[in-house]
Amino acid sequence: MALSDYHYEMSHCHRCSYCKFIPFQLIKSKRFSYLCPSITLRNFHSFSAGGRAALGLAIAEGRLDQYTEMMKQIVFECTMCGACQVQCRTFNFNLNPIEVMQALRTHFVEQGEIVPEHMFVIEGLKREDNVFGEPKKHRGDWAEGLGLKDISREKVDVLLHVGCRMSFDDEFWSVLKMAVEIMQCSGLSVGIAGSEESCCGGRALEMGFEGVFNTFAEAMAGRVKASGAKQVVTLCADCYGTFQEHYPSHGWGLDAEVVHITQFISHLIDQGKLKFKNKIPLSVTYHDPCHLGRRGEPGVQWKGEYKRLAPHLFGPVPEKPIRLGRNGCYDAPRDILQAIPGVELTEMERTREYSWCCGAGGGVLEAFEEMAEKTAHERLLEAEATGAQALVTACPWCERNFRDTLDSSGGSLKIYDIVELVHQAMGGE
Amino acid sequence: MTIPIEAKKALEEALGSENVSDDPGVIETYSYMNGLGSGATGYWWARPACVVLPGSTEEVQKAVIICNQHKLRFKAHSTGWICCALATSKNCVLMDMRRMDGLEIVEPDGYVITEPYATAGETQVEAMKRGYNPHLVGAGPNASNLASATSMQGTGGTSVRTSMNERNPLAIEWVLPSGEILRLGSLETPNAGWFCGDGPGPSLRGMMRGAAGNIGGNGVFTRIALKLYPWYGPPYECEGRPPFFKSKALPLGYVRYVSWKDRDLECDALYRLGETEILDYSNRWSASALMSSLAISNQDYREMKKKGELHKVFPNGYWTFFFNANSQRQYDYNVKVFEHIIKDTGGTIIDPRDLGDPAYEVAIQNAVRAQWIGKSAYMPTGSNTGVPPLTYETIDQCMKFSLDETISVKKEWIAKNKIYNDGEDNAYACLDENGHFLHVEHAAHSDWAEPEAEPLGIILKGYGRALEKGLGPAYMSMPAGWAKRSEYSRYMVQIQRMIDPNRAADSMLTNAAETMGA
Repeated sequence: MALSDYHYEMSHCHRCSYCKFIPFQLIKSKRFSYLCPSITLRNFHSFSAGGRAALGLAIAEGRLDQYTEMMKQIVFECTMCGACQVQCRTFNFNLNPIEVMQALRTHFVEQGEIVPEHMFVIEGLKREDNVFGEPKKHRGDWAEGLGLKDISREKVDVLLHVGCRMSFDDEFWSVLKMAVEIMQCSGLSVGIAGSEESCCGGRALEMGFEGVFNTFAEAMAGRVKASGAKQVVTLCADCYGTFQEHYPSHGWGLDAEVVHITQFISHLIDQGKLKFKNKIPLSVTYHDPCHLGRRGEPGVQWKGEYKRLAPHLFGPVPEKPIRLGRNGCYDAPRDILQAIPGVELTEMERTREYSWCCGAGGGVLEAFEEMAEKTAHERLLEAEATGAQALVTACPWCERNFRDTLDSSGGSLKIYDIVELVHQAMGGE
Repeated sequence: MTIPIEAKKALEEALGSENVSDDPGVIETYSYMNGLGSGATGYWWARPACVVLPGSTEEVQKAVIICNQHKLRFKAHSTGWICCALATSKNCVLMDMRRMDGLEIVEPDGYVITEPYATAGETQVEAMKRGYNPHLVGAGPNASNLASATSMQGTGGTSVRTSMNERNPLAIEWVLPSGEILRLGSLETPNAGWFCGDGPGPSLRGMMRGAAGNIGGNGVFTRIALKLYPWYGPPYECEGRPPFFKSKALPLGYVRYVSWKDRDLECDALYRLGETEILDYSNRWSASALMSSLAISNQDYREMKKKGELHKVFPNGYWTFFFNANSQRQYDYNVKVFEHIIKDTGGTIIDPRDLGDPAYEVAIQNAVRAQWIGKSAYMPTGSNTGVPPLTYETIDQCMKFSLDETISVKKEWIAKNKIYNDGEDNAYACLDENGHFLHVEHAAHSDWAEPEAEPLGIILKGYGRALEKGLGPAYMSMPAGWAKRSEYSRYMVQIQRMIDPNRAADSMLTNAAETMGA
């Protein structure tokens, strides 16, 4: 939908500032009461969901006759984590901030107001089908010698979609190999697209390049269909959120169930197909990746408009899906951690629907280094405050940003992908 | 208005360039407000000339002095949860106080030292860990506790125990519109601390805010000590999933909805409940307001309204009462007294759980954290224009006279579709100081998108009716009240002129006074 289609919503922000805080019922301390990384860094109201709605409204009404660098920063220096959406929607029937922010980005790109650093990503996508612009032919290098099925040659039960980060960041290749070993416990045939895999397109969409996103979504849909897979499994929360939310809300469907690796593993545990032999004496805390949690909630394509239901009473017709993040993936990773002998899970203050973002999403890692690092640092401090020895997550983008931040800021906290702990517990090396 | 280059440069030197912006996109976002008052005026307000983010009292002082030097006005702005927080002059430097969000609970003295951006909800969380409870303004936990104590109104459901927030300030740090820093009460005496607003040192608390505050006209309050009240039992906690979550049990907490068929008996009960001093929270509202809290979409709200079930349960409004006892013995006593008074006055007690889990959560979360009041105030239409007489008077005055007058005015407007038909009696009220006074506001919802919307007139009509009937509209700080009752506001203006020789502070009140030639 175009920015102007959100006029009613943008003009019905109550200016309550709820979008800046976790729900007041859930606040456990002043220290960790803030919700939005963007305004927490920049402090101007403009950098909150409410501020962005006002900016969008001003643009839609023609009140601004120029686009400034600051306006571009307001629009793009946001991880699109969706925390504001969940909090706002509990309080206000008439505003969906994350949709407004997405429409703002698309509008800016359509007007030629582009963040230069994002163009590196977009060019890479156009040239090599990945966000890093790395040679496409190396995309499947991680799987050499594993004997995985190639979906371009044979049908499979499960398509493992690896994603750009894990394909080209070789620090994650060991995690991928562990995941494959775990998945084989299922007895299902697992295949990959290898060098033919391409980006899910989510990063392009969240940078405002809707057309680029559609190209990749179409390719992905075709690839899944051709593979005959009944399940698409991914270790990447960004890809998961894209498949779950962005694809359906833009009219794209995958002819397969989308499953995050944590859901797959949790299911194996429930079925008794995965047994843990080793005890791992470790106190951990778990970071909910935004695109696995609240933004992993299935999206629905809505086509309609706000209409007058009665005098002074307006609403979306047909009714718009209510997105509170409740149907994201929160339990599977926690069930896994609780099933691993010796692992002691302590929650951070901001969890689940109200988890603090890692700082890597929405094009921030690529263009706004300070925000990416400070947002991750804040989360690391929150994790340390639990007294845990390790921070566990389930997304390579989160993990990358946490590791890099920890390298520069220092600290004794260990960072794990949940797959690593599962692999250790099942007796892997 | 464009800020003069020299003024902007001076502000950047004083506060750091990253904390000053006159970017059109930034100032535009500070000129928007749909909520209280927008139905009357539209959602675009004055654009400030510039927005700044001071990080300390000294930075506030520097910014104020620069405004004086360059003939600019200024106004402090916290979470922004009311139109009065916006600029009302085009040459206004809006000070977003977000960087000043400090909060310190002082034990065992039982007060909190708070900066402007610390919210009431955050204050309560920290206070409860130490066995205290702060005043919570009815606007909600997102409001600044400092602002409601110094600059604007300050009533809420907890007022039955914690009083109106004007009664809670202890020592205060205050940057006057001239740029001087004034420290009130014990703070002015070296090493005396923050414990007392009346000394040793000057006591100017009455002048500081008058009855309801000068909404930005008297300068910037940068830190304040506020009195805390006892909180017995564990800190309030919630868990579960949005939107309603699930409150953890308060072992000695008691929350009930109560309604009366007879207004006289309702008033008798309120006086008697106040005298018993058992309540920690009291709040009257309507079936429509409860539906606004419970609904998750306008369609959902419309269906609830169509079914009319809550209107059948609460045809005449309802009260939420709450207490949190300090012992089982006190709990038993309180329940016995409460039930006796309600029964004796013909009231009906409803356990909120009987209306479903969400209704219970709304009751307990309002009672403890004022969580859903704001939603009731603005949904389903997006804006609310209170119908005068907004009163702060005796229970009889409010309930037996003013309430019916507001209903009568509302009926006229509803009949012409000028405001939303919420069932007419949608009056919010709360007891103050164990029933010495009652505060009443009457919601009038409207949506700017409605072609026939005209809520501005209802304010003027309401004030006119109040004066005609001798009902004494209390909130004269509201600009619309100015025209009708200028003698109160003259005091506020005289105070401002004394402390603000260059007329640098930007207040909706004094701007309205100037507009009307006072």
